[in-house]
Amino acid sequence: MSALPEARLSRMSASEVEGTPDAAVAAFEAELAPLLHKALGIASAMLLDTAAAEDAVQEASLKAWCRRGNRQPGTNLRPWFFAIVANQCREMLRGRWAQMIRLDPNAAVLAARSGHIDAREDILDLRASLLRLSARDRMALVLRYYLDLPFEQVALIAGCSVNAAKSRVRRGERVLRSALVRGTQPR
Amino acid sequence: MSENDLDPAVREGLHSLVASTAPGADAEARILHSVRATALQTGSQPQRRFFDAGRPLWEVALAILTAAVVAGSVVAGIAVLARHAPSPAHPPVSARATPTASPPPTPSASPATPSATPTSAQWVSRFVPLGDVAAIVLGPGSVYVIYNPPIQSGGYSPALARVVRIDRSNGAVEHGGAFPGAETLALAGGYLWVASGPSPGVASTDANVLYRLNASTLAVEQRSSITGLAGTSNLEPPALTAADNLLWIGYGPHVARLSATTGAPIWSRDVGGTGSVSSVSVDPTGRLLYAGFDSDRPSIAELSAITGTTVTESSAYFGFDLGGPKLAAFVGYVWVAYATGNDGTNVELHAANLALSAGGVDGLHTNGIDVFRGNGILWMSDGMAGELFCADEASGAVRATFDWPLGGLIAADPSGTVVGGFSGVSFLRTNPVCYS
Repeated sequence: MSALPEARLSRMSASEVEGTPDAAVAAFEAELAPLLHKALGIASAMLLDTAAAEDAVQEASLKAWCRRGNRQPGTNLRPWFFAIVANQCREMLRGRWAQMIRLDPNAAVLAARSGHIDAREDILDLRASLLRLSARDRMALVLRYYLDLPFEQVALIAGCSVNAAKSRVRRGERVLRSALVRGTQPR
Repeated sequence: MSENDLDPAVREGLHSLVASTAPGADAEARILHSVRATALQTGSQPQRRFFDAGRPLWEVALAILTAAVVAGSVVAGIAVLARHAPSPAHPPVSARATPTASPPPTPSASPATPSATPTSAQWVSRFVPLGDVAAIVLGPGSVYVIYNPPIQSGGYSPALARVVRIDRSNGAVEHGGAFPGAETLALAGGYLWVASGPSPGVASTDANVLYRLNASTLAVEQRSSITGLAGTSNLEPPALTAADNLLWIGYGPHVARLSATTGAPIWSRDVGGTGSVSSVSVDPTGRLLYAGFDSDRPSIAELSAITGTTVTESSAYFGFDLGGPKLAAFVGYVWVAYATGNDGTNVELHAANLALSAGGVDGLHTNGIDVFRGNGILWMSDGMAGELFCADEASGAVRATFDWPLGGLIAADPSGTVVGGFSGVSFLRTNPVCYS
C-alpha cells in the first residue's frame, strides 16, 4: 500500500497558486533554468539515453539545491552545476544498476537500422563509438567538446591531472574520428 | 592543429548526437517542477559542510556536543521503548475505550456491498466488485487497484493478479490486463508503477518485475527486473511508495530510490541485513523515508528520502517474525502496526529518534492490524477483528469505527476514502466524525 502525498501536494499547489514561493527557491530556479538545456546535452552525450539524461539532470539539480551551501558565495552556478551533472552521469554509468535498463548498444543500432527508431546512420556510428569509451573518457570528451571547457577545468571536474584530462580527451577524439571516417565511406 | 584546438568534425558530430538524443523543453519544465517541490519541502536552508570555512568554531563545537547528546537520547529512547514494549497482556488503553461513532444499523442501505456489514453500509456510496484487493492507490480522478480474482476452487491466487483503473466520478472500470505476482503499485512522475514478487504459481519470468504503465491507458511502457534488490532469503513482497515525482521501493533487505521516469535505481541501501522490507512510508514532506523489516528481530529504519542516508534505526520489539512492522509516516512521527503472535498492536514512534511516544500505545488489536495515512489522518484496519478505524493522527485516539469483515486497505485524499476489501473496492462517504 503506497502512502499518499496529498497533504504535501495541496500545500505545494497553494503556494504556487498564490505565487509566493520561498525567495531562495525562486532565486535558485532563476539561476538553474538557463543551464538546464546545456545540462541535458551533457547528460545525453554521456548516457546516450534520453530518459536517463533527464534523470541525471533532475538528480543533479536536487543535489545542487541541497548542497548549495557548499558553493562559494558570489560565484557563477554554471561550472559548479555542470560539474555535478557530469559526476552524476559518471556515477550512473559506474553504478551496478546501470545495466538494468540500458539498451544493448548493438540492439539499439539494429533497432534503428530496421526502422524502429528514426536515426541517422552517422549518429548511430557516433553513438556506438561513444558507448565503447569508458565513463571517464566519455566525460572528459563531453566536457571538452560539448562545453568547450579548457583542459584545466576538465581536469578539475574529472578529478584528474591536466595531462590525464588531455589524454582522455585525445582517446575519445580518436574513437570518434574513426567513427566519422567510417561514416563517410560507402557501406 | 595544436593540442588546444578542437577537431571541428568531432565537435560537430558530438553536437549532432546531443541534438538527436537530448530531452526536449518539457524535460526542463519537469526538472524545475521537481526542484521546486523538493526545495519547498526541505526549506530554504542549505546543507552546510560540517567544517565550512565560514562556520564559526563555536557552532562546530556545539554541533559535536549536540550529536553526542542526541546519540545518548537515541539509546535512551530505544531503552524506553523496550521497557514499554507491549505484551499480549497489555491492557486496553484510552483510544480503544473512546466512544466510537459507528453509524446506526441500516440493513437495507446497500445490498450490493459485500465488504460492508449493515452497520457500516450507509457509508458506502459505491461498491465495485473485483476480487481480493492486494494494493490500492489514489490518483486525481482514478483509483488504481491490484486485485486477485477468485478462483474456482475458492480463494485467490496472486498468479492471476490484475490491474484496473476505476473512474472516481462514475465507477467505470478500465482493465489493464494480467500482472502475475503483482503486489504493490504507486503513482509517480505521471506513471503508474507496479511491482511483482515471487508468489506461488508465478513464472520466474513474471516475478521480480517493475512495470511502468501509462496512467491513463494502463498500457505497459517498460518492464525491468528488480531481482537484484530481492536478496537471497526474501520473506516479503516488494513495496512501492511515491511522492509527486519521487519513487521508492523496499524489497528484500534493500530500500532504493528509483527514477520516476525510468525506474532505474538512483541509490539503494542494504539496511535490512538478513531481513526483508515489510513496509515503506514516506512522510508528508517527502524528506524522511521509513522502512520496516521483517526478520527474527523486526526493526525500523529512518532514512533521508532524497539521499538514502540512514538517520536512525530501532530494533526494539516489533513483534516476532510475523510479517514485520507496517508503517504510516506523518510529520515528526510514524505509526507502527505489528503482530505479536497473540495480539497485534500499534504504537507511535517519534521520528527523530524512533523512541516510543509517551502514551502513544493503542493495545489489544489482533494480528490483522495495519495502519495507513489518508487525507492527513490515521486509519487502521484490523482484519481479524473485522473493523476499520479513523483516528487522531497525533494521539491515535479512535474517532470512528466501521465494521468491516476481514478489514481492508485504506486510501484517502480530500476527494474521498476508498477501501479495498476481500471482494472489491468500496467508496466511502466522508464521515465528519473522522475529521472532527
